[in-house]
Amino acid sequence: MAAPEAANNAVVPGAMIPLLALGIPGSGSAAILYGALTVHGILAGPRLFSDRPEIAYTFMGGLMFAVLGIFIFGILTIRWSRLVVRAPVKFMIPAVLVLAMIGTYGLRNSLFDVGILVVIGIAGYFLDKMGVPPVGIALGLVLGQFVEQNYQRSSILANVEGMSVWLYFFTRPISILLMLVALGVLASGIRQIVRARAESAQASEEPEEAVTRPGQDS
Amino acid sequence: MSFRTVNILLAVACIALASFVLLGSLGFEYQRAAEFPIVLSVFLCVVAIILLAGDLSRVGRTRERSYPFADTPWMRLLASMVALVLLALGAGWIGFYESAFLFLLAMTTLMARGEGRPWRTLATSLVFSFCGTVAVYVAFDIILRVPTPPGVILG
Repeated sequence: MAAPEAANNAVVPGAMIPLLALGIPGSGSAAILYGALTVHGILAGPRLFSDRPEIAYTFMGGLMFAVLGIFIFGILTIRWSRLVVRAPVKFMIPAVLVLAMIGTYGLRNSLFDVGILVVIGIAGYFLDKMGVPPVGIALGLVLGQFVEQNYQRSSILANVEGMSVWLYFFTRPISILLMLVALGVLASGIRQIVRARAESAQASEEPEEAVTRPGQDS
Repeated sequence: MSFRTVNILLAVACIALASFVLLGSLGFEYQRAAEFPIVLSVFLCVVAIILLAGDLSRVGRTRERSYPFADTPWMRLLASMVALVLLALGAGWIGFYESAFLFLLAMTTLMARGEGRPWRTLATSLVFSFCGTVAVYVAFDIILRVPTPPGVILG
């Protein structure tokens, strides 16, 4: 129990660095945090340290205290908290669903939100089974509105300059650099996927016993 | 259903969504407002084509032997989904805590199916559902005062 909890806590500061320094959420939870900050009119990024230093340093201080607090709490309660791992799944799943539902309803006192939770939850289950990572969906939901707003802004500016919006993205060295970095990351991702698939194809040609067969309904 | 089939269906769904967005945005009064949805639908189509190309290729054919839903207990999953939908609907009709009790009872009984001794399973589920509902009621209604839909018994 201590090992996965330690690993889980170690991930958080790593994900917070790009969020606070660049305004790019490094994980699903950081993306949700980014959305929460945006709802309150706070834009995470390099200017956060100059415009709202109290927010940035509260995050840093809070994380340090949280890690220390979890360490002390963990040491004191490990004897009993390890029993959570033994709790039967048949009790855990319904309890978590009820808590998720009450939490969602409590936000805006809306049953519509609960309906959204059910629909997204069911869709999420199937997407998880299909290997679709939830981080991309969370990032899309949080960053989508900014992409649209900034695209429209660029389109208006490009129109004033009398050029196409696509050419407008390549008029400044910094934008050219960012575009090249984005293309590089995309190409690297596609290359990794293609390589992984090729390796898996090569591996599956040899051991036939490794093949998964469809099971029966239980 | 193999991974390859799932990916092909996903790609077709992406193309259908892109077409829906594209057709919807063509009717916009201000063409500037339609620019972004059009760009987005084009990107979605490109992603779908990459997905299709990857899965229809020789390399993608090996994914025919991988089954993402192979070990899915469909009947139990379907029943859980129905219970979840009924909880969401029931919260508005009979109250949150009342429907939460019924949901906990249904889910724990369903998940414990096949464990043997059905009466003991039912009794355990009943005790857990009752204690769980009381705990949630005390924590959220009495201590935290989180507003929930009023119920026929609690509310």
